[in-house]
Amino acid sequence: MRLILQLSRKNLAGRPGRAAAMIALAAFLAFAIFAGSVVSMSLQRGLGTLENRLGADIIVVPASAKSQFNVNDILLQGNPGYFYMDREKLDKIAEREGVAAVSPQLYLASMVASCCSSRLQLIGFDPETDFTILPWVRESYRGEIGLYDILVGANVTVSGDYTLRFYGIDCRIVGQLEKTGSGLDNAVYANWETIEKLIEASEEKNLNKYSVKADSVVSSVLVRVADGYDIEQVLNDINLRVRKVTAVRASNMISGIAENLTRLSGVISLLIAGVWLLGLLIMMIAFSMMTQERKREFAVLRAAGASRRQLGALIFAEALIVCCAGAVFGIALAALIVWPFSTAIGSALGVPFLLPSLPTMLALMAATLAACAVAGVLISSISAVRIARQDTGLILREGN
Amino acid sequence: MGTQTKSALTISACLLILAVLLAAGMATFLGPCAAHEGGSWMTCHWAGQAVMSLGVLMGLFGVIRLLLGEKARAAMDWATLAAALVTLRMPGGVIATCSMAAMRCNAVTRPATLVICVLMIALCVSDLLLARKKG
Repeated sequence: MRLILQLSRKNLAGRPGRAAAMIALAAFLAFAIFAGSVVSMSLQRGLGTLENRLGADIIVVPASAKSQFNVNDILLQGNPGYFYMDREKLDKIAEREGVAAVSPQLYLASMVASCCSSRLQLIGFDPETDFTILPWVRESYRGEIGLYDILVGANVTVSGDYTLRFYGIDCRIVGQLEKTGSGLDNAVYANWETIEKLIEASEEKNLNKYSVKADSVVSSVLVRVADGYDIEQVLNDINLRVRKVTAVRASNMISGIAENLTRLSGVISLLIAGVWLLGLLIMMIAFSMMTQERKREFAVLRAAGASRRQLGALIFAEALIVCCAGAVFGIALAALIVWPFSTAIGSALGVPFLLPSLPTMLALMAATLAACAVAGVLISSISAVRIARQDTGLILREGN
Repeated sequence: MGTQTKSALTISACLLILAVLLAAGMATFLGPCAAHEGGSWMTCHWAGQAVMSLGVLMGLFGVIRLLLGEKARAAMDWATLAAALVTLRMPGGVIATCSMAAMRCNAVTRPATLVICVLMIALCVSDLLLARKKG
C-alpha cells in the first residue's frame, strides 16, 4: 500500500500541470459545497435566533406606523426610524383580557454616535417590565441599568472605556446582547430616564425634528399572552378595542423573511447540485482521458508484475490524493471568505445571518472532505475497471 | 525579466496581482467608511490609507521580484512576508476601526485585508519552502 501511495504521488508530481488542474477542479467542488452549506445554515440559524429573540407574542404599534413606516425595517432590521403613540395605550392594552404582561419601547430619532459615521437605532425600554431584552444579555459588565447606562447589540464593539457618546453625553455600556444576525445587533438600548435626557440633549443641539416627551409617549408595546388564551383572539381584541393602534403577531412579522429564506436556500441547494453534477462529470471525463492516455504505462506496470488489483488501487490512490488535496484547498478558501465576510454577506442578502457554531463548522468541513473523497473513489472506479479489463499484451504490441 | 522557474514566476505574478488588488481595492471597492456628515474622517479612513500604502509597497516588491528573478526571490519573499504581517495588523490593530461590526470598515475592509494578506503570506511561505527544497 505504501508503495502504491508513493508511486501515485510521484505520478502526480511528474505531471504537475495536469495534477494542479484536477486539484483546482476538486477545490472548486469543495468550495461550492462548503460555502453553500455554511450560507444556507447561517440563514436558518439567523431566522431561528431572531424568532426566539422577539420574545413577545404580539407587538402593538401606532396605526400610522403601518402606513408611514416599514415596521419590519425598524423592529427586525434595526434601520433607524421613529413613530409614537400616547402612553395611555399601554394601560389600555394591559387591561385587555388574556394579556399577561406588557412592556413599552421607545424608538429614538436616529443619531450618530461617537463610535461610528453611520446612524444607530436607540431604543428605550423599561427594565422593570421588560421580558424581551434582558434575557438576551450575553455579557454583563456592571449590575443594573441606571441613568446613562446602555445595553448594546452584538455588533457594537465595546472598547476599553465602556462608553459611547450621544449628543455630547457619555453613556456607560453595562451589557451586550447575544448575536441574532439581524439589524437588532446594531441597536443600543437604554432605560426611560436615559432616553429622556438624550431627547433633551438632542433638542438643545437642534438635532431632533420630532419633539417628544419620553414620559408621555411610547413607540411600541410588546405583549405576552397569558397561558390558555389564543394569541389570535387577544390580537383581534386589541385591534378592536384599543383605538389607533395596530397589533401584529410577532411570528407573522418574520414570515416574509422566512419565505425569502426558504427560496434563497432552495436556490443555493440547486446551485450546489448543479456545480457538483457538472464538476463530477468534467472530472470523470478528465480522469478517464488521463488513464486512457496512460494505458501503455499501465500495461508496462502489468508486464512488470503488478496485479490488476494493484493497478486499480493506484488509480484510486491518485484520485483520492487529488480530491482530498483539492478539498483541503477549497474548504480553506471558503472558510477564509465566508468567515470574515459573514457580516457583509448578511447585509447584502438582507436577511438574518448567523454563522453556525464552531463544532458544526468543523463537522461540515469533515463532511465536505468525506464527500470529496467519495467523489474521488467514484470518478476513478470507471477508469480502474477499464484499465483492469485491457489486454496488456495487445497494448504493448500496438505500441501506443 | 529575470530568470526564474515556472512555479516561482507564477508565485511572483500572484503576489503582484494580490498587492495591486489590495492597493487599488482600498481606494475603491474595499475602502473603509465614508466621512462623517460634517466631513471629518473616522480613524478607519487612516487605517485604509495605511493598508493602501503598504499594498503599493508590496506591489513594488512584486515588480522587483519579476524584474530581478532568482537574485531577489528570497529577499523579496521575506520583505513581502513582513509587510503582509504588518498590513494584517493595521485595521483594527495598530489603527482602530469603527465600533460597529456592521460598518464598512469592519464588514469589508478588515476581512478583505485579512484574506489578501493571508494569501500573500501563504504564497511567500510556500515559495521560501520551495526554494529551500531546491537547495
